[in-house]
Amino acid sequence: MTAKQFFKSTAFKCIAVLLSIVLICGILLTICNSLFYVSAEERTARAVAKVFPGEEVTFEEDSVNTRYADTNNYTVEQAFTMTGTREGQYLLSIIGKNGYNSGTVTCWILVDAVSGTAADPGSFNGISKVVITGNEKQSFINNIGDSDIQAVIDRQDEDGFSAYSSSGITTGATFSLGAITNAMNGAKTYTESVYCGLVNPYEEWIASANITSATTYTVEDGVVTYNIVTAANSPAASFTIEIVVGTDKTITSYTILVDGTQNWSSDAIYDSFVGKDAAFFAGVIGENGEIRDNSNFGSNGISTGATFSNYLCLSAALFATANYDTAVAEGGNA
Amino acid sequence: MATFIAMVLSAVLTNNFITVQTLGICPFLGVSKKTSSALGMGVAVTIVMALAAAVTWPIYEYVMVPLGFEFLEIIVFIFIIASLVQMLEMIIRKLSPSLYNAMGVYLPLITTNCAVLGVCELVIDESAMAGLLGGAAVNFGWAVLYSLFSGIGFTLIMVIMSGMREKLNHVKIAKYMNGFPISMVTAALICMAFMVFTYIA
Amino acid sequence: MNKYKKITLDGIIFNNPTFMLVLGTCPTLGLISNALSALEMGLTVIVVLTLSNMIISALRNLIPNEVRIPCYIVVIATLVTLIRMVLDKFLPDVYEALGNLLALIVVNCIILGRAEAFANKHTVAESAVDGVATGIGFTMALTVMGIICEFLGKGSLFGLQIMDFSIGLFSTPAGAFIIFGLSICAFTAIIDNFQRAKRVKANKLARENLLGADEAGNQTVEEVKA
Repeated sequence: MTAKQFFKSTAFKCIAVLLSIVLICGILLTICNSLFYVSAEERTARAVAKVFPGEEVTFEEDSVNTRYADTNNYTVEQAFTMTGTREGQYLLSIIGKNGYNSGTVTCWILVDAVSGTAADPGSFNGISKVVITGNEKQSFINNIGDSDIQAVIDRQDEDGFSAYSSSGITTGATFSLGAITNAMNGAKTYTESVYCGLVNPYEEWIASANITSATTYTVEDGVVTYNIVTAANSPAASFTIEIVVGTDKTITSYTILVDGTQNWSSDAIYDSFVGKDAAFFAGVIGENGEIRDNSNFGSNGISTGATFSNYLCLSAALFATANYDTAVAEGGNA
Repeated sequence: MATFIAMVLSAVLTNNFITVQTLGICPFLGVSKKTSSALGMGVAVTIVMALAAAVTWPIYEYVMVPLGFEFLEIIVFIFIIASLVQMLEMIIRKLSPSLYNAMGVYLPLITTNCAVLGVCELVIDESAMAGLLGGAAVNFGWAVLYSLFSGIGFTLIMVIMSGMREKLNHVKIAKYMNGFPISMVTAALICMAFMVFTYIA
Repeated sequence: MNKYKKITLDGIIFNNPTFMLVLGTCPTLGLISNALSALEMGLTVIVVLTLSNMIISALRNLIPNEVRIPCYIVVIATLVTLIRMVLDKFLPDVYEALGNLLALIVVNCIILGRAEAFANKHTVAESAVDGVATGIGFTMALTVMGIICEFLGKGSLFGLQIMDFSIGLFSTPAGAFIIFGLSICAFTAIIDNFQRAKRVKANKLARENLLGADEAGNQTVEEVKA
């Protein structure tokens, strides 16, 4: 077949027509794609707008703090700080887990909170809105009405939200509501940890039971200087104690800056803490800072008549010495 | 292994293309009069589904996504499926004329079977696949296996349906119920039976 | 104008794509548990079908017979992609509700079927009318079944709760199959009886005319029949 014949053949016509149609369609689609492209920001704005029907809202998207975002009960997907008219609220896109049939519920949760830092903590003031946007395997989720969710929102106590039937909420979708409650508790924990600064950064440290998040420390040449703010141990109030731990992991200086006692303690006793290491304090109050036995105090030569204050001061001392390695590794936070 | 079993159960039983997702209904109603033809169609669809996913998945993940051409997915996918069907038809005709005679008539119909395009669209949807695989990340192997077992699930329902329709031939059916209406009511019964599997996953 | 009336009636009733031809069953079964989604799907199909009919009809003398199917598919796929983009941009709720079924309009047999059976043999105007009519037939069938299915399944109409009851079966594919099957049965029965009544009436009329003609004595039977 010559070239001329080929160009006149049906085969050529078929290929030419098909190719030109594909080409025209491709070009048309590319143009339209650039015209109608929906950017990720627009998609986010659209999703947020659904939570606030008929309302113009402004917000800033925050990067999700991965340390607090994913647990067995929930996953925080997106986090927003609301600005403008809804200042003081935070919006979280969060997946509640462990629903019916091991499925999940995806919701947007709007929380009220006062922001803060570890030194100046804010507070979590409750949930003002829960919008369910999706679910996986929750066949009966339509049984959950707005009033049921409101009932869970209203049932907040210090441990968080609770939804099970002992709290009087019966929906016919107990497990789905459980997943939503997991998401709500997740929103509380995440907000408290990330925005309010309420999380105790010393949670993982040894003997931190009586140490509050207001505690700071610095490390210099292997010498750790703590500024420990203890919890209250009624009737004793919170102490603020400056403790310096030297390279040999013993206390080199112990100064009470804010005294929470009822004036019964004796500086002489606290002076005797100098030169002692973690093993000594653990022998007195136990490795986790629990009160073992009051008699331990006396047998170690600590007897003041101010047991509760002593306990706090010993906790601080144990915390300071036992966490020397951790403190050096972390490098200080003041 | 657990993921594999969960995937097989999901593809064949709990997320069956016909009874749960209602895709591929045209051949399901059209080619289920006889068991032999239903089986032929089912096998042909299974092969095309697995092949289509094996071709479209890498093209989408490694060519279209990096180039930002996701919006062309429908055209590209349908073209790939049509070409695959055409190619398969030629290969079968060349290699095994007897198989071609048995299966050939169903092959061209597969291009417009929405189960095939449906499975290609499904395996590129990461969130949907994560749900079906119990959280495991989708890769090429899972995508192809899922398509293959979806096809097997499709074949299973086709064969069950054809068995019931062969029995229906011996029954007198009211005039206006004959044909499509009675097939659909039969299909509804199969769907109801398969709904039970939703509770095991 | 009579030609257009016939095309319209055929598309909506006598060749109703859903009840008479039983095409496009997948989106039908997938969406009839929700009347609103069914209506949205129907409207989308009207747009795609009308445009694809017009384009294919306009190109009918250009496209060689050998490659017509791939050409039709490319045109339809382009239209579906376009409508997906437009919906995603301007009506995101509809886009979400229809989900993957939107992409599957490409393989909806109604559209390819009309291209093959009608558009490549008729003018652009006729094809447009056919597209709109067939689309309306599809939409009406889908919406009617959607209303029945949603009411039985959830006690609601277009998302509005009107009665406090629900039969879970009708929210599942099984219920959709039952409603679809019974609807086909009812529709064919009605059309069939309507046509028979029309035929009986026509026959009666013809007989009367015949008798009258005989009396008048100047008309033949053939003339009456014509």
